[in-house]
Amino acid sequence: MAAKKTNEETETANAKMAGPAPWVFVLMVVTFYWAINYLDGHGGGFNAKVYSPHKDAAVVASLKVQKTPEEQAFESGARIYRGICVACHQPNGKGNANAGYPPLVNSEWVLNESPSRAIAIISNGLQGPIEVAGQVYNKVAMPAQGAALSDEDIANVMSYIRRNGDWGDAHSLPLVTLEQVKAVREKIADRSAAWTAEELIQQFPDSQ
Amino acid sequence: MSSEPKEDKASIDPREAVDRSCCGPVLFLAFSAVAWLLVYSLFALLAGVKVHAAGMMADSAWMAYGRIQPASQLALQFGFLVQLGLAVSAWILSHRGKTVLVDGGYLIFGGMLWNAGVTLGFLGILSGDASGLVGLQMPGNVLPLLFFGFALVGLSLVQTNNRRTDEEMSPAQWFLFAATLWLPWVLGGSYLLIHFFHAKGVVANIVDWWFIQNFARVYLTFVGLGTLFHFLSALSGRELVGRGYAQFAFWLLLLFGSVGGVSPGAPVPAWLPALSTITAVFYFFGVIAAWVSLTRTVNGASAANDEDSLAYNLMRLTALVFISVSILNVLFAFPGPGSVAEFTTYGPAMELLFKLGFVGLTLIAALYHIFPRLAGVDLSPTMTRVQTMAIVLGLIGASLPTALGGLMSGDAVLGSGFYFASLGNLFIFVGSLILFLNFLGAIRVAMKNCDCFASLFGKDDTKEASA
Amino acid sequence: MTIGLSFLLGLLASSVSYFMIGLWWPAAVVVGLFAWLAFALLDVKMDSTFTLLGGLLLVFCVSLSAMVFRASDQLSGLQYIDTQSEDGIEFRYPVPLLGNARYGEAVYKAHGCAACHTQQVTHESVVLDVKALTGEKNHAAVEEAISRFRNVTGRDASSGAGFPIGEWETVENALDAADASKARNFLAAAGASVDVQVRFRGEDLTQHDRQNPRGRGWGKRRSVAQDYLFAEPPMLGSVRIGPDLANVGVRHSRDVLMRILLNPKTFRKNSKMPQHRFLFKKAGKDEQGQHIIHDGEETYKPTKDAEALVDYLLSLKSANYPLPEAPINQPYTSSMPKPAPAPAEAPDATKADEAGK
Repeated sequence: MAAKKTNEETETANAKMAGPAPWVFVLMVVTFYWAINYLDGHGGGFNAKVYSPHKDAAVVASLKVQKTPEEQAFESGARIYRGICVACHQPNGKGNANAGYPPLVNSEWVLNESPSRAIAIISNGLQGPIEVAGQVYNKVAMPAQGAALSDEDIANVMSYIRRNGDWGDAHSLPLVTLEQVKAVREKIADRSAAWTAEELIQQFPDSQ
Repeated sequence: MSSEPKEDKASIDPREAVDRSCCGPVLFLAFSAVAWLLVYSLFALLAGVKVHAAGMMADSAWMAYGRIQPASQLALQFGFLVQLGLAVSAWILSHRGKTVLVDGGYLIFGGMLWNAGVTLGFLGILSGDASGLVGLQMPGNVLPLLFFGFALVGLSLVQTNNRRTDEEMSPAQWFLFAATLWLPWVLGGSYLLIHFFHAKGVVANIVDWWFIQNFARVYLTFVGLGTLFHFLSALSGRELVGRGYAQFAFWLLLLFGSVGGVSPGAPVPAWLPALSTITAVFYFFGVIAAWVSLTRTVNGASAANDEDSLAYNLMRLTALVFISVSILNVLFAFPGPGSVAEFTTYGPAMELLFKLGFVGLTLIAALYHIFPRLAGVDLSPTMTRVQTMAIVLGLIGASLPTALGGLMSGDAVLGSGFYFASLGNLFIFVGSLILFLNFLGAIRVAMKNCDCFASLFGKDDTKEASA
Repeated sequence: MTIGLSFLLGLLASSVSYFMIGLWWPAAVVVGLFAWLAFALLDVKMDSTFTLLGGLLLVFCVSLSAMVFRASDQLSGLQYIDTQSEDGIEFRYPVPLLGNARYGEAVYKAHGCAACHTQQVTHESVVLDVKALTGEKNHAAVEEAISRFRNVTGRDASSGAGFPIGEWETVENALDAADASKARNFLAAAGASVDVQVRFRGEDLTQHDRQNPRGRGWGKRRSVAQDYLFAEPPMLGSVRIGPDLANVGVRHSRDVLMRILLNPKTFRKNSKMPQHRFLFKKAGKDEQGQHIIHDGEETYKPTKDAEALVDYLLSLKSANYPLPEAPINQPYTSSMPKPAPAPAEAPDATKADEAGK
């Protein structure tokens, strides 16, 4: 037998069971939409390599320091210089007169218009006396570095020693290109002995 | 809340039988909890003072700040909150279900294991064996002990809940039942992932943050809300209003409280902080729903009995604390404000306010109501008022200035915030000392009168009740 | 089942499919709608313990999968990675803790240094600075490119006039990636050399005068998961009552760290760090040696724990080296190349043909 409920009792019963009104669910859907967008904007695409506040992996990749090719060549040359050449020619490029290492700073061999002679020296080494900036150096021979260095390496280190503003205003020559190095090395390909100063001048006369 | 008892279940146990069955286990857990609160407040005080008096106890490795601070947190969370939560859950589940507490002996034994685990963890941290993870500082091998202790207690609680006379569960029962299951799962899961499977690198931290989030936003919140849902309606004599809201709140809080808690600057991929922000927003919907249900239930009424008015009003205060802290939490879940508050003392201050100010005080208020009914003796009213005032004031002092100080200077900490915090910690210490003595005194009187420990095993009472 | 509860379960289903399985989001929404319908037609009561238990288990699995397992999939497989030190020397990163430093990590853990110190550097935003270099030949074109760039991106519409010749000069600071590449394109087309520098802005990071004035110098970049590969466990900390320690090995020396441990107020007057005298033992008044520390009138010697802890702290250099996910802005090298003189400027015409070949 169903008992008749008064309006009050129905209201109380409804209030007891009351749940959120429909508009709450609409709000939840809207919030869900916001959440998806928020995840897209801030979640980095669930990528393990993307950390806040970057937006996605492409942005992170584009953040690598973007140096121009000239600057990269210069820096690469600097690394090679620091790895191989500083032992004798010193980080400041001044060499060591007592030990017999000629300076590169303001050296006419380095700053010659054409890089060919210096490229040849690096490739095959140097022996015998050489006059650099008015002083003669004859104590030690320079060993060949060509075996360890690729054409690009030689181009880069040449660019470095010719463009290193720290060494003086004269060191502001153009970049040495790969083609220049290749041309020179091809020309001297059949020579394996170290050069002497006279042979260099003979091989690469001025204006070549 | 009244319905016909089913014929194939035991008849409704009389209230006295229920209280008798609860007496031993609940009071044992409550006493342990209060003792751990005292330990917490002492060590928090010491830790706070070390910030001012840098040379104090500087020759003792056991008293290094980095040891006593995590140890005090362990005492608060695992020693006090969990145990008092279990005690109150046991009482509520048996009373709501109108059944005696089933297998109270398991509860006591589990409680002893839990206490042993917390003690070992506490001493382990002090002796330098901490795990290094913020939420789970206890040494790894203590965790299985804690797990089994809690599981035993949980067994008793689940059985009690199953034996309820009404098929229909009230929101209080949902929340407490879910909490009882949730903590062992999360604790066990964290132990397995970190210590057994040796999570590598920051994955261990991610599991740790997952545990912290689940412990605070699911477990403790559920214990607090379950207690509020029961007592705010029982003490005011009003029936629960808005069951649908409570249901809505339950699932939202569960689903979205269980994921998150990663700070915006954390060294983890960006999706983890983003996910934390989103779940915090949805979690807040659940908080609002629970709040609506609670306020409509209370509807401005005052306590039905005068003797309950302290407990009742305290609970209304803690409900306010809950909603305030939740509002702040959702605001600071966004990366903008979040990175301002990140790594400052704002975070720990808010967590203290939540843990002690909401969950702790709610449970203590419940204890004020439960204790006389179980022990047959009232707690001393003046001491109760003094200790409540001390703890409330102490909390305000310990949390608000440091929270503000953390925010105001961006990331540098204002020294004055720490002075207030120490003062607050002192008040909390005094309050918990008074609570402990109050409890102890009342128990001693009670033990002369009642035969509490005879009902260690609930089986006696079950037989009595069905007669 | 009520509409509301079944909606929630539909939401749960679409959350699971989006976050856990990684479905495309419209598909996840559709899954949710279907689940909503299905649950609404089911007659499942919330009061059954069985339903509750099932729901709890489901949510537990979702939370573990969405947060822990997915992160573990992504981060557990991290290995060594090659990076460069400041001198351009390549090495494998991170460097595992060796010997005393490994023991020092245990000391750090045992004494709970993470209670006051974090080990994670953060940053707030990433901006790009564009610098250019031009010779006399391209000067006018470059200036025009600069004003075009400023117009196109709606910046301060001043012209590019006054741009120096033969020197690297800032074109614009604090650009986002899109604007930076626009600037780069305009300038490169005009024949200038362009350099784009990445700069992280954030209070934790290295201080650069105007550009990051509030930088605290705690690291050069943010910390990422790779940095903590060998930490057991990474003691990231959560509060900074003291400074961040992720990069402390770069900032402080052994002596300073010892002094801080013994009596922090000698290092910073307002320090809130408690003294850690238990890490030291008293030394004789006249004892000499590099390990002796004087504190007022007392003389102390570090214990093994202190030595190990300091070794560990000195090994913390995790915010110092660039990684793909966390690049570092490089400071400008001092010897930047000057612009190449135009060949036509050479006074001697005979040499001009051969120059540059």
